[in-house]
Amino acid sequence: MITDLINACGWDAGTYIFFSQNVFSPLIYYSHLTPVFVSIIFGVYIYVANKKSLLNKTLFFITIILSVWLLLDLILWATDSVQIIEFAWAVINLVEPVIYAAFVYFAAIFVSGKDMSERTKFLLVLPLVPVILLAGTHFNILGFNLTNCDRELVEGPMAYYNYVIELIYTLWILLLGLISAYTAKDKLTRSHTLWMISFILVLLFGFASGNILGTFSDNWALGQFGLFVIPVCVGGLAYFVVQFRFAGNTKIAAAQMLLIGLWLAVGSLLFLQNIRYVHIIVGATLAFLALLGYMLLQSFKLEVRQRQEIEKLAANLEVINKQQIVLIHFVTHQVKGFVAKSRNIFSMMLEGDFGQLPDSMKAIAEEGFKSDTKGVSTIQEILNASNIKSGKVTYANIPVDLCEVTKEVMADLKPVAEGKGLALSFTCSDTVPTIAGDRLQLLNALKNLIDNSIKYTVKGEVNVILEKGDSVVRLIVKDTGIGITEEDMKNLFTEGGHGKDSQKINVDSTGFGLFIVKNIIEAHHGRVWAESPGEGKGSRFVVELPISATAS
Amino acid sequence: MKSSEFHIDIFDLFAVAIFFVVLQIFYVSFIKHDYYPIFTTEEEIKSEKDINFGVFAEYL
Repeated sequence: MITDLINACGWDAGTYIFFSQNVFSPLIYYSHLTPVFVSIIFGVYIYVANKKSLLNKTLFFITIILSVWLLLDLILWATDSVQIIEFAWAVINLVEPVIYAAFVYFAAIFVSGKDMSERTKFLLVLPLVPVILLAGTHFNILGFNLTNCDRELVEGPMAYYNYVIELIYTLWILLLGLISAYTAKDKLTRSHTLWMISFILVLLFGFASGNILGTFSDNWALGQFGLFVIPVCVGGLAYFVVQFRFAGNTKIAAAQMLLIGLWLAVGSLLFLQNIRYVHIIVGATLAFLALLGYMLLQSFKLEVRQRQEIEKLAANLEVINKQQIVLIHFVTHQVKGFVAKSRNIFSMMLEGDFGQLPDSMKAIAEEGFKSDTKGVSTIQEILNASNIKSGKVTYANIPVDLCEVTKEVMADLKPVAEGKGLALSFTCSDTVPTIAGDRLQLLNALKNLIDNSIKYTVKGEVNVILEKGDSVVRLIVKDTGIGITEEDMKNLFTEGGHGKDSQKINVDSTGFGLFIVKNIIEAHHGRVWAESPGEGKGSRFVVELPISATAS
Repeated sequence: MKSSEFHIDIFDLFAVAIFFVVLQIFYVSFIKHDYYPIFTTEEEIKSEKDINFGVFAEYL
């Protein structure tokens, strides 16, 4: 008898579960499939943009369960199978409050920027426990209504319970939004929080409208139009996630979303033949594009404003930077004068120009002399680096015998190496030719390079080799020092570049030594680089200067 | 994976519970055919609603 009644209704068996004559209007496909496509595209877009972000993952999860809900709802409209209707309806009633809870979670992460506490998560999930317990019972679905041919189920009290907790979740989101907007630190954050909360609330309202109207009025068709807001709001949420939580390029994001929306909306017109529906769809598309277009415009304005501010700040910074360089140059120059004067006084005292010093005074004068010598050398290094950086250094272009220059440097540094108990050796090949360049600057560079090796070698030796290569003169400084890590290697020749542990060995390091070397060598069209097997395994510095080089 | 990285929170338990509820719904919809009655008169619906809502109210 029941089978006869079902047959008498004449429901269409349909094709591919979604497509049948049972659907009251083709508009249902637009109101369901467009949100599914848009939601999944935006969800995947956001997820791929930052897979580690909890906020992005949550929005992706929401787009998935929203799509599950929409597809099940579409099946409900299309199918003629009583069993499929029972299954889809019961699962919809289970999934629906989960969507609301997921939005609360999303809103909470968005406004706080961090995950919920375990206690709040428990509170969030608690109202869903009865839903889980009752979804598979008659409290959810009482049975199939065959008093008419509308293919409807009779819902149990759980459907009404769902509306209560959905209302609670909605109020939760509203409160979260209002409190966050009220306590926001600036106007922009407040405005964006309100936008985001509005998108969620409009989306939930549109989403719920079908079911609420259906349950209370038995007119299930009326609320389907509310689903049109889903793609608009998911697009809006994706935009705000991009803008705020992973510092992506909002202009590109908005443009991409606009394009996706346009493509989908216009593309879907191809599937409609009835001009009456085209009006509705074009209206919905227009609303969608107007919103995203507005956002795109806003992000352009924001970017232009930010660029103007950055340009202004950059101009200010350049002026301040120049002033600081001049100030530092002036101060260091003055200080160098004072320290050099003090050193000369100590020197004169030690040489007996003020009479014989008592032994106790002599020790203090020696200490003062050493300290001032170091001070002058440090200040000179900073001044050299500053001159090189500002392009004030001019290079002479005369024949230079590098072998002789290196010998002079070695003679200067020998006492320093011996003081540390290091063996210092120098080998100069007979075939090394003279090169054209600035003798003083090259001496300065080689001194810095060899001195650097001595400073960072605690025990062992520093060997210097000068040889002739193919069209270059090559200087190799090999030490048994602390070595260079891969990380330190990147900053080695940069201005003020210190190794991670270098200042433990050389407390007075300015970090400018190798920067000066690199600049002087490059000014002679040469190159310098360092090699090291790793920390504690010594280093090898190589300088190559072209034989035909002239300094510039 | 380090043991400290393995963490189950309330959402994971919840997801497992939902999975089993969906299985249950599948069972009562497709396998246990007589679970959901088919109402042919408004009186049947009203009577079933009265009973069901009454039981629910008692639970509350």
